[in-house]
Amino acid sequence: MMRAADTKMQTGNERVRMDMEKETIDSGERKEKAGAHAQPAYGTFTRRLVQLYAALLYNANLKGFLDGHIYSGPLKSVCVPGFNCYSCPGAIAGCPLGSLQNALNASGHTAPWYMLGILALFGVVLGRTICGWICPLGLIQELLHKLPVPKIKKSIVTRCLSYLKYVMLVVFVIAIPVWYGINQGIPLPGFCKYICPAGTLEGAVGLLQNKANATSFYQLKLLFTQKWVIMLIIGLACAFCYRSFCRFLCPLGAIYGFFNRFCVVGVRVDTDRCNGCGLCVRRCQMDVKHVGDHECISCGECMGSCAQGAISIQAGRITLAGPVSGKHADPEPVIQKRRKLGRIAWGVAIAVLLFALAWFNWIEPAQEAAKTPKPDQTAAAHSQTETQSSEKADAKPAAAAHPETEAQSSEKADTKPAAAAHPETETQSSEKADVKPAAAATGTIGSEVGDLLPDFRTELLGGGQFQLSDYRGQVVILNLWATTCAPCIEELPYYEKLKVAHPDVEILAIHHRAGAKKAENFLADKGWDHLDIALDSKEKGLFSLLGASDAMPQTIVLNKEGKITYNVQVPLTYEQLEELVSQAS
Amino acid sequence: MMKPKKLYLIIESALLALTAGLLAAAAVRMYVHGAAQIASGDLFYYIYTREKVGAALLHLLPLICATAVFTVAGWVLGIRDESAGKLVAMDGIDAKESVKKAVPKKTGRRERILQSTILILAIVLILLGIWNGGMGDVFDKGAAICTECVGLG
Repeated sequence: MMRAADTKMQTGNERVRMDMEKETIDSGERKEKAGAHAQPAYGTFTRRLVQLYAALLYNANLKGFLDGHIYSGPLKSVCVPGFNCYSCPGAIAGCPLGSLQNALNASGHTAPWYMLGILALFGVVLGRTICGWICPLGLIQELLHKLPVPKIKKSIVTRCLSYLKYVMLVVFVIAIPVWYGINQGIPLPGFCKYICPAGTLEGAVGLLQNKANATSFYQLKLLFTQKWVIMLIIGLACAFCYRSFCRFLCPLGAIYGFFNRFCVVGVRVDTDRCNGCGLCVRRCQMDVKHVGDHECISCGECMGSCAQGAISIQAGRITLAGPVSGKHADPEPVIQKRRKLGRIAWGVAIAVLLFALAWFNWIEPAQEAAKTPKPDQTAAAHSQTETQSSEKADAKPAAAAHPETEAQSSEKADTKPAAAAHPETETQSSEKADVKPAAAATGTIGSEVGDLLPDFRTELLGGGQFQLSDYRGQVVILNLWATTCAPCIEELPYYEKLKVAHPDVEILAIHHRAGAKKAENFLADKGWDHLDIALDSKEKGLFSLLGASDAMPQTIVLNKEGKITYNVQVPLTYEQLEELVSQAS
Repeated sequence: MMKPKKLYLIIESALLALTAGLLAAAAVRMYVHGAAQIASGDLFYYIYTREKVGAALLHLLPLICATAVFTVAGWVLGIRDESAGKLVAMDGIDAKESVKKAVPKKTGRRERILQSTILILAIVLILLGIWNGGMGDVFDKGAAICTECVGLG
């Protein structure tokens, strides 16, 4: 029995060995033998161009890399098909995986129909063709694989590892966000937070490389260290093993893989021509078992291996790419027609790219700048308030009424007269019994430590108004936050506690303009009665007035003179807040 | 005697691994030092700063440059793992079965119905999502920097 099994195994091994010997002849000889192999591996160059094109189009907001700010226009409400971090300074649209996690986070109160629909749409049209052709992370992995190091070939081990991405999908993309979203009320995108190398590379490194985000370094702690190490490991693995992240870890690939068998665009086999040699599967660097399965990224590399010319890339019934040489090549007029259509498609694509570059870097910023309320208008409204509330009409209004102007134009005046910064202070102070008269406020207007923060007025949630200058003589803390920011939500109860402990300290939590309307619902059941909450909007522009970035949470502490003693984008502990208050008092 | 190409590939691999390892080690060292400072009572000690990171990268610059030079030289000289282009065994994969399961060029009726159904379903879901505010949620998340997502904090 044993001998029979051994003999059978030996015969099997022998067959594989012979098969290997037969097939591992060098490619030149093989081309000669196969006849049809004069055809180069299809379109590697074309595919590379498409990948570069997609990466550039997804990140058309090039000015973001220069000014260190992300794009926050309306296009961020849609997703690109490939893996591209939405916190990358260049990104013009959302990341499908990040958005899915966010939608699942919110699934306790909003069904994630939108993201499911988007993913189903991308999946049924393109499937994993997205991975092979229009995923920037795929491009990065392929370029890393070009490094001249020994390569690890696919095997049964890598095929087993390829199922790991389904574990990633279930645990990090579905379970963690749903659990934290429903049970804890905290938006925690598990995959983004703990694994995603695209976030670290495009988002973190993309933002940190800019000097404008120098204070963002202060936020970096264990999470960054861990993600940095993970990114390096994945990057190194990609050099040795083809598309390691894509094959073993990418949950987006796992999702698109479900659609691969019936998606509209993809690699297809002409079963009448196929002789079952299996060269396509053996040549493929992905862990496919057959052409077009859930691991196939429709890169088309197998087309060059097929002596029968049986493989083509189809969009429904339309052939996008087929055999162009050898005895099974498509007819010359068909090839010519396809090339002509290809040239037209490239023309349109380049026009779209040029338009996108012009739109995101020049046209839209110019329109936004035109729409933004002029500093003079704000200042005029402000000075009106001053005239009504103060008898000090003669208190050097020229410098007094326009601090915002100076802040927004980022011109720093050298020194201003004492009363100049906020003339209404004394009037307001005299109305408050427990507030000491304002100290002489001199200094530059700005958002750095030691500067006087520009005065502003805003409506409070639940009624009333907040005017910064009203609180001269008190320590003021401004907290910039958003409901989509988990560290912000974890930090807010500390502010509530601080306000209870220090009633004399004014704390204003300003919500980012994105999702401001939902903040009311969010706050309804929190019971944070002591905090003053304001909602920013595009029209108010409080964040930009305060010189804040889009990275949250940010805390600005003002001392009794109205000068900034602390302004950092970092989540704080209660002890740190206590310390900041005692420093500012 | 080891072939020069193989030796080159090994050196390149070692350089790459060393660069990645030292970059990781620099970050871990910075973190451990910072965490110790914070634990000692310095509440506002910043573990990472632009200056500290810059200094760490400066220390590694010679190694990074050497790796880059080796990589470029390898490309120019055409040195690569020759075995990478060779065919692999079909471990446990039956070629005949593989052909049967391959996605055929001619789309069957079943596939076409499935495509159409999912396409319609996707559009309906998207419209539902726009109606229930799901689209707004995507904007809210994308319009501000998700510091957790990118590993900032």
